[in-house]
Amino acid sequence: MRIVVCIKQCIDAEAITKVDDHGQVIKEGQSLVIDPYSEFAVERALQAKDCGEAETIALAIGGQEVMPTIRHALAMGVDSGCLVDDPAIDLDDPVEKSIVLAKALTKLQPDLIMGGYKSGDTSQAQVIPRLATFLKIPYVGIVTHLEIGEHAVEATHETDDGFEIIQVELPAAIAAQQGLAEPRYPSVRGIMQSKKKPVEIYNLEDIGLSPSELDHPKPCVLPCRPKPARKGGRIMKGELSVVISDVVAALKSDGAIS
Amino acid sequence: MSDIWVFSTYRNSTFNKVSYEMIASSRKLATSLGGSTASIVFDSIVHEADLVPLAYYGADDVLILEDPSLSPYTTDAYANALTALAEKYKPLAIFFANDAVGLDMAPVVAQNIGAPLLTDVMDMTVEGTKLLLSREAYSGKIVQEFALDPGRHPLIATIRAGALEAAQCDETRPVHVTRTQIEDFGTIRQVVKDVVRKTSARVDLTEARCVVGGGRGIRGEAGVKLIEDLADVLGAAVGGSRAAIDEGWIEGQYQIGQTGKSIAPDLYIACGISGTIQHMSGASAAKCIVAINKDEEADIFKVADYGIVADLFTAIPLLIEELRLQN
Amino acid sequence: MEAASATREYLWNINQEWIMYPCFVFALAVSVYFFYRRYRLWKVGQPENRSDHRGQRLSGVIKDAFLQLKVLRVKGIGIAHLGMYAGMVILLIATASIAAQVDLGLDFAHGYYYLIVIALGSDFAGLAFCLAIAFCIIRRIANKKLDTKPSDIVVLVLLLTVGVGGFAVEGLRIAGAGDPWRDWSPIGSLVALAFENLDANQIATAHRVLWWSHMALAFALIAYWTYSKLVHVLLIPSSIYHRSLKPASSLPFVDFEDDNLDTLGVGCLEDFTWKDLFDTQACIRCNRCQENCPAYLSGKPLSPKALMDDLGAHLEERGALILDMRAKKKGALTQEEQATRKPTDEQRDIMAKTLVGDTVKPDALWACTTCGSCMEQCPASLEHVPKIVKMRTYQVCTESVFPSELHSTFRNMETNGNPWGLGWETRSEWMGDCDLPLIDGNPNAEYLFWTGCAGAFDSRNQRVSRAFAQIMSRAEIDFAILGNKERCCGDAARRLGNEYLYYTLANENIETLKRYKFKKIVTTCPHCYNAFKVDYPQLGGCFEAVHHTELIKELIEQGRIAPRSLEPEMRSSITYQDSCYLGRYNGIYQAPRKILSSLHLDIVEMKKSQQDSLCCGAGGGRIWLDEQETQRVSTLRTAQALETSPEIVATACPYCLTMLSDGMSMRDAPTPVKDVAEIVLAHIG
Repeated sequence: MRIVVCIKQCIDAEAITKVDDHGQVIKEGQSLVIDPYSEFAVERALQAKDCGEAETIALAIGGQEVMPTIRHALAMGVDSGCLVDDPAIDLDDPVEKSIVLAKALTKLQPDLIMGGYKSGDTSQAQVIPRLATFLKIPYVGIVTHLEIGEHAVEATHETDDGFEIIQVELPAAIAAQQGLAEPRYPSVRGIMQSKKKPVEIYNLEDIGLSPSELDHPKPCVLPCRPKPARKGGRIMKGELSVVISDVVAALKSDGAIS
Repeated sequence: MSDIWVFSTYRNSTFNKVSYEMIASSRKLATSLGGSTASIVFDSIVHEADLVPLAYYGADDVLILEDPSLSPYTTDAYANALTALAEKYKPLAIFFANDAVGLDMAPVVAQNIGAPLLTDVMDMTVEGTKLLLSREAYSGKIVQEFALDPGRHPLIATIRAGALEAAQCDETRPVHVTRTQIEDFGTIRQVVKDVVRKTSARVDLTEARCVVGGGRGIRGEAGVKLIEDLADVLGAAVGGSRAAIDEGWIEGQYQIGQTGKSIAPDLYIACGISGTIQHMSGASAAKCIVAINKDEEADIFKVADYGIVADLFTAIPLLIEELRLQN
Repeated sequence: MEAASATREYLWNINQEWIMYPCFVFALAVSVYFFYRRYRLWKVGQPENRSDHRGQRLSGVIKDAFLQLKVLRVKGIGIAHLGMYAGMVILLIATASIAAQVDLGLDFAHGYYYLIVIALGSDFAGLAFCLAIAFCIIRRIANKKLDTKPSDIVVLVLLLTVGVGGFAVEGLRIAGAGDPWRDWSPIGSLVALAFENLDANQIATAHRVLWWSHMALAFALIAYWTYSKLVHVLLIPSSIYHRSLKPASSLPFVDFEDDNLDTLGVGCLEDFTWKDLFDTQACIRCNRCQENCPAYLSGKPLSPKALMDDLGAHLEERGALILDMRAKKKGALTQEEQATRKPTDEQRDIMAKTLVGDTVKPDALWACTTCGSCMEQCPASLEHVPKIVKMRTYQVCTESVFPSELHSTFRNMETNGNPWGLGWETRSEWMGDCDLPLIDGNPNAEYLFWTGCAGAFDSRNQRVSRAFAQIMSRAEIDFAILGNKERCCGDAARRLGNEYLYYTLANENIETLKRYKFKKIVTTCPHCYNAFKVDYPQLGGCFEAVHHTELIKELIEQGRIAPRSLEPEMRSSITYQDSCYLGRYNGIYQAPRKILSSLHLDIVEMKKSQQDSLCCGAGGGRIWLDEQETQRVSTLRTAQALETSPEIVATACPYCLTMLSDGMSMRDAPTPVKDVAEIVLAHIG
């Protein structure tokens, strides 16, 4: 079985996210890590590899700055990597990313496609379902458990008030949610070996896309801004019972409670 | 046909609050475009009497599709059906709730009809014929803004519960229902093996006006009982941080945070919660935050409107008593 | 009679004494055989050169083996053991002298030598020997905590029997042969009184019987010697000789640049060095390591003594099979022999036993705080901590198996250079409003102030960083800070077994530090201090490091800061917690104390202080591991601190400060815990 995991690189959640004069988030100088949801997917794929005969590939879009993230997946145990690097790709647009990934996947011919259901940074939750639709294969999103069979998979899909168990035939796409698999810590041997594992680099032409095919209606992206910090920080001092009655009185007068 | 669609999830003969919030905002957009709003309802059986609130909260039309293929929910049945309807009626915009169903359907429909999609939208402003949508990213640290022109290209968005203005109920509004059909649902590739619903008597977490949350500090069943008692007095929903869910003290569907639910209550009481960035990205929309934590250095005190440094096992009973007295 | 002619008839009443000799040779041969079996086992381990610096090694042997200095740290049993040991040595000299006289014809065992050494000396030696052994037997029966095995009692009883038997033989000889010099054998003479009423024949018979049985027993003991725990007589001087001469906190260097790097850490028994395996045999199970181990005392499943025991048992089982396998590989066995030597089920089971998992339980492995108390107390200079760290290294680096809470700790250190994972760009926010000089603006500063992760990110410890910075400013010290370029020193990563992460962090830090020309690094954290002093030089990072208490002491002595002189009634009583990495590992005990006394504070020492100090429980990366409430080391140490009824508890380490403060708040105790720097700042004008 061949499993391709679509991975993303994102800024560490603890980083001070800064915006430049044009309203773009600054990535330079920031700690870049593997997106946690992608990592859940990688781990689940590796668990399949541990149990049986599965070949795993990590697929990403971006420039050389994404290589450390691919190497991280390789260090965890993924067999090889694939990077689609082309300046014509708008890395912030989910539609372009989905099309590019779909075309690359067509070239890679996987039995199972996995990825994060959303990313830790932009959290749009669009790429996996869009690429599945493009490829005309079924997908299951927000997956917290996966049973992989030879020709089909059974995924536990988290709903707002519980969960559902959905079976789809392969090839299919699965979007990982936290709880699917706890990512392993790469062993030193893994880290050493990852340096020798192959990473194919494709441009649009290699995957059969022309830049014009990426054209489609997009929202007009306006400058973004840092969210103003919430004004909090008032710590009530004094004897506890007094503090409590003060707080309740304040909440009542604020209208927070009736 | 109406121009702005609001996909309204029909369950237990009612609709969730966010449907009404979306309808209210769509009305504004529809008015500026010279069109109307419609609520879209799918199920195997739809009782027309249940649809009345949709109209009262602002829907000019309620478009229903009734078919056995629509129960249970499957991505293919719903997405294919909505795609077919969208291709037939060509709405300018389709809004979904940013819940499991919305996130499941919206990207597929968007890909099918070639529409841009924005998820987890928290604010919608109409500027002439353009629509400005904003959402949060980077664990709630950045506000992204987008401008769309529904007149030129259809757009799809999923909307966060509680983020838009509350809807106004007007019982004088007429109720207009249209039944529609589609030719073919296509192959439905999802086989639903099991559906597990864990219901609670409490108000829905994402719709509650008041939420009580428990974190690592609640330390087990005794703590859970305390926050539940507090929630009872307030008529609040109960949620938890990742830590409480991981320990098994609170069910996963009540997790508040980046990998859980986003809440926007009037009041959020965080008990024994340290206030990590991932948790706060789900709770920062609360109007007022009260934090109870033993550790005065906890991050939550930086964002809390009222911080109480105390052991929650002492503080909560006092709070419950005080609230009872006030009532 | 002339004293010069003092002697006695050796082998009086004994016929066919020639039998002694082949018996002796046989006993010796058996002893050598058992020793050889041990030798083969410890040779299962990897080679390691522990024979350099002979002089230094020998002087250690003299101090701790011959002079028993470490053994004597515990007075009761120390003195008893000295009695046994000295007694046996003198008896040995006496017996050897007689043998030389009788067998080799060396004529010196007479005269004053006879009287003082052989007569008087043997008697007192024998008495000391017997009393000591009796004390030991009673102690083992009375003290249940000693974990006494039957063989312990057997050995003691045998020795006592030989000792008492010796006196019986002497008494019979004096009674039977008469002895003009009996006054020089007071004990023997006393014993002889018991046989006064026997006739010559009875005495002769009894003497013969006892003499031969005494010999038989003594020779049996010689044969049994190297099989039993008595082999420590040979092994412990050797373990002291072959001890590590490196600083106690040293860990073996793992060269990641080496392409041939095969094993990381110790995954199976034979990955240990010969010295590691030797340690398991040299361990005498004296229990001193266990009695001072913070993990053991807090109820965790780790005991350093049990570790040695378990590894020793594992060696017995597995060692023989490994040697067999190696012989097979070398072709030492013929084809036929190989065919018949298929592993039995039992052997397969033994080989299948894992080092970490079956022999050493993971809970025990991860319970260690690397405080070094076991090694400090060990009379045999055995090396417990490196074995644990080496096993952790294999688990983390090769197997990637370790407590799950460490996953985020390691990731955080990798991504943001601190274990909390707080943004690295916020590292210098601890400065607050104080405008402290950055090293970029002052690359030739005298001191680089290294705060460490706790000093930078932990709010309680940020106050210590600010206090120390203020002290240095007042004293007009030329210092600068690294700012956001400072990354975790890697100490915790290394002690948790993550050598690779440590290697990455250390190399990054060394590269950063080498860009500047400061003279010394001053740090408020003993773990960072130890990293600079002991760990970084392995990677080519040689920086002069100073702990903040050393600098403050100097500043006070030089008068650059002047502590207020307080009225006696205003002087607080203070107790000081010795940090393991500052005190035990790096010998800094006095500097903080001198500081506190110069502030005219009344120092009340805890019962276990300085070398015997009890760890706060945070070291060895344990601060990042979960601890059950009932098993908190910090609870123990806080209680010990409060026993001194102090008004303040002083610390010199961010871990100790955190753990003891936690301990106080768990007990709702109002006693403040403060760093020495904070106390000094409060006292200077």
